[in-house]
Amino acid sequence: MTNRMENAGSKYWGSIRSHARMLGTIGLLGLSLVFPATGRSQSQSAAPEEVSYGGYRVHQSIEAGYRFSDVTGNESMYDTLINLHEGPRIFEQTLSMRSEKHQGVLFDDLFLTSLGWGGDPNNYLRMRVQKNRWYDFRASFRRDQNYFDFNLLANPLNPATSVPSVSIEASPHTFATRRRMSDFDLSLLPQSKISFRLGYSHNNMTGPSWTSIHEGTDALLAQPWSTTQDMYRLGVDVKLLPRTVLSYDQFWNAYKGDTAANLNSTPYALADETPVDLGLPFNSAASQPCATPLLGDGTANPACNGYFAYGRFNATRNSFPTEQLSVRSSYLAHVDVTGNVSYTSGDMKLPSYAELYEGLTTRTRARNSDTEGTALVHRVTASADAGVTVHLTDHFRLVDNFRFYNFRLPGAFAYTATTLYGATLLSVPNVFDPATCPPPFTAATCPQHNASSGADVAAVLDQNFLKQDLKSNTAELQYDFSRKLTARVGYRYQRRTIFESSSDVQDLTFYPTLATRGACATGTVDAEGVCTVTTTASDDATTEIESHSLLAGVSVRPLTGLRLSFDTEKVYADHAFTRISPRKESRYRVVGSYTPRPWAVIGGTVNTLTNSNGDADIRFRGHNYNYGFNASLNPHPRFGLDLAYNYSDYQQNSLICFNDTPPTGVTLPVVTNAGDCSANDAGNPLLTDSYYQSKTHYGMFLLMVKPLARVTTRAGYSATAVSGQIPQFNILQPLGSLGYDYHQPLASLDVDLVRNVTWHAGWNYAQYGEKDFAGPTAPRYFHCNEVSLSLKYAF
Amino acid sequence: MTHRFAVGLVLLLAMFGAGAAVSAQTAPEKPSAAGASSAYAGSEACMTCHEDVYKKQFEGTPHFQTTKKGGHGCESCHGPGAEHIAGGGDKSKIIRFAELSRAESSRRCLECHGESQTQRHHAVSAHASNDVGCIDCHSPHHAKSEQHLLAKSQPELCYGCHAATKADFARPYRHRVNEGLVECSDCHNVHGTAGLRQVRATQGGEATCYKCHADKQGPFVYEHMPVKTEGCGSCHTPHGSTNPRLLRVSQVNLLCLQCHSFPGPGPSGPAHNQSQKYQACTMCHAAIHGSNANAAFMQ
Repeated sequence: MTNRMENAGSKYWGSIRSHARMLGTIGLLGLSLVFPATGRSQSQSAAPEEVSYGGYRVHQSIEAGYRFSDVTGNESMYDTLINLHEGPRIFEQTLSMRSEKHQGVLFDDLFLTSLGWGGDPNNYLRMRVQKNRWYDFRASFRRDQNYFDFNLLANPLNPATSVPSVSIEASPHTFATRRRMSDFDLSLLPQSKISFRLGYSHNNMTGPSWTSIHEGTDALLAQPWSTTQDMYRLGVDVKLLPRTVLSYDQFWNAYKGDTAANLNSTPYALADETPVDLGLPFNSAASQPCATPLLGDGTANPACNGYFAYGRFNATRNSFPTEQLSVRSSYLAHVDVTGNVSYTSGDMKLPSYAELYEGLTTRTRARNSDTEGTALVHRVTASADAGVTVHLTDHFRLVDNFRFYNFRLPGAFAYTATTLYGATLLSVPNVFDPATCPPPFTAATCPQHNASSGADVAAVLDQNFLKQDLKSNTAELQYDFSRKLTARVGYRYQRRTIFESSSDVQDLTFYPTLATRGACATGTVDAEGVCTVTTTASDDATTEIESHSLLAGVSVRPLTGLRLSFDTEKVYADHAFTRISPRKESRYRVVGSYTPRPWAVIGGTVNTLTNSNGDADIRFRGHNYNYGFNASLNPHPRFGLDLAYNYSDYQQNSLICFNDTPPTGVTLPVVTNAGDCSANDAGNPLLTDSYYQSKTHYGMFLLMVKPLARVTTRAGYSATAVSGQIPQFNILQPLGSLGYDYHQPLASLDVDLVRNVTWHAGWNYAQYGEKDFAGPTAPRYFHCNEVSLSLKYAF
Repeated sequence: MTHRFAVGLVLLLAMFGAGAAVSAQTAPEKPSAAGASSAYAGSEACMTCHEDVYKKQFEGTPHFQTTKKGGHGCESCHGPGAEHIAGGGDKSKIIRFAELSRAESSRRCLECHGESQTQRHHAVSAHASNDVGCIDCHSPHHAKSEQHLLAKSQPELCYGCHAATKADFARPYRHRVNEGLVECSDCHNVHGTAGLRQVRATQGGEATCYKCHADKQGPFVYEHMPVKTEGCGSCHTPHGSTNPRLLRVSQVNLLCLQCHSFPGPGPSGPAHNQSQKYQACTMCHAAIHGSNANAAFMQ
């Protein structure tokens, strides 16, 4: 695990760090010396100014420098949350060109912005070029380096009392991937009677990641990520009538999923020196991966669950064309109409699925399995919406919005799984051969099954179908009592029908020994001792959900600069699809903003959401209460203050049945105080009102002072404090993200050195610390200091 | 199905065409701006008094195009100005957006901008319902952001009203909005959509999340059905969360058990002992968003 972490990120500069720091510092000093000499006027401010060039007003800036970074504590958490490391950077770059007379030859306006070049985890470039009546081109490139290693995610929480004691310090589901996204959109003749739109998007995600697989025990798999999505867009707008446009769009979405998975490592060895992986969970008291994983000589116990090899290859190809017809018209004097109809039909194809497992699953004695098959899923989506606004009077409107959304997902997976069985990791799994396994089919050369062994050969066809049909209509009456007071009342009706079905047909072949086992327990064997059986299973269910919503709102502007808005939504549904899908929901929202002076903006919000499902066996109750205010005060060009505070109270409770047997001597309140659920679910006999509550305080301030015309200082602080409650089902389970403080103070100094050149020094500090560190994992705490020194050249 | 669809389209077109043809005979002219009887004075006349605005806040903006090819320039938005000028700058004789209701001012903007694909749903949008108009976000004469003439840049512009969202994006687990990687308008169409919360949808009508998280879209042979029917928000809080992976609950097992327990439409929670390795459901059910190979989302 340690090795993979080190390799994953090449994290980060290693031995060149000190050299880079030195070079960066020297470079900055050099630049600082050079720029004053070349500056046009040392008495001028570096405030951005536009210059005229070739008929364009041009403004551009570039800020380059060096970031120093010092992290103390859990670097994986730091990389998960921040991941800003040391090195030279182009922090930001902008370019804007605007034709002075709107008569540019190639373009009238060009805007280009980018940041983060040189190694930051997030960087982007966005640009827009347009020539008014001819074209409008927008492009963006975004790169996101996603490092994620929160080590409580998918962690088996091995107890220290296990022999051996193996602590899992990194999440088995770590990601160190990069996502590169490009978007290009071109509008041709945007103001003509007929205009055209072309677009292309590319989304590529690659990089190392890890996952786990359960076959007896849970093994860590390396999962080199590789997915690519290409989206093509082609559209035409036809302005048929005044204020009326009809559009047709053709989309094509192509996706390639080439992510595979392989056993990450085999860190143990059997007595014959065969490498083996005993998996992630080590709890010898619970026989994970077995009661005595390591023998006295340090070799792996061959009677343990373990892996020699695992590989999975499941390259998928998706192709989804979509046709869309839409219209918008305000041709009629008092009616605005918008409508849209689209249809998608395409396939997900998995032509060659292959999964190979070699190891031992002690429960079934599976030693080797080979699964090969093909999968195909068809997706058909039809959607439509229609919106009508009828201006009954100058101040009274009827707004109606209808939406239809229907998808169907029929899919099938046909595969053949062949499994060989053996008693231990050292035994050779026997292949069934009537010649070596004659009657009475108990020879040592026969496959060595036990009663729990599955079929030796299974030919399976699974077919599933999921469909949802949604119709929704929202009608509102809106009235402007005056230009300062507007109110509305509305009603939304929604009907959803969800249909699901599944069918499973299995042709199973059971070889001796113990051929009459499992699904063939009541079957008969043929002359060669083989039992065959065909099993079928099918299921289907329909859920119909009808909901009614009452909508209301009022917005008032009693004074110039003061706006108050209140709106509410109350939803009642007759059924729910999941236990935590609410059947009752109430939202209330109050938003206020006051601008008493042009330099002062004060705002406040109250947002409350309560929802519930009153079923006596579920009793789901949730809420999200949110209160906040913000202020931005800039009374003088040399002084500015931003303030914000927010409090959030989130709750999600429901009755659950569960199974929990704490280790001897351990008392867990959730178990001690549990009710009885055995009558409903014998496997999960304990009943509790599971509660999750999280309270979050967030506060920030940012102070800007310019003591001199060419000096700007900033100081700020941002803090998030989280606390809450949750039942502890496992004595080894740290509370993790249920309670922590996250502090982010900052300070910066900007000095206008010469005209157009600003020197910037910034300090950012971040500290993440969970309030509870109990458990077998290392504490999730870090703090870091980041210092950036840069020069910004702008004109 | 394709034939039915084609027939449906033709019918729709025919209906629309017929309706439009009938309406064309009776439709009155849209009310022109204020003072339909007034005469246009021309933008040059406006500049006589409003030179500062004209030179600094109009001439360099895309709206300057309204002066070309017979356009009325300033008066395209503010209405004919001859009476305003004749009245010595009488403010009551010219359309001032600050004096209009948000619905009225937005309607004026949409006379030109309403035909754009992105602005078509404005009239039925949540912003319009809550009396948020074009000029609450756009400032044609005092824009701080050159592109789209925004009063402020994203996300600060949005935080002005959606203060709770600012706190969401300050949480340690969040989409990188403050960093500029993601913009509010990537997921929301601030001008309105047919769905709730002005959330965009993919071309197939699915959640906009799939544009970036393409691997979660499927379709899969074995769908984790709530992902498709209830949406990503069943388990995740999209803006930001106090929990890793933007989960609603800090422990994966509790999140799973709250659905997978008696009574429930899906499989009830299997008899896994919470005091053992099974506390992390996704360690075994790793393909929790959907699988092509395993009904229990093991791989």
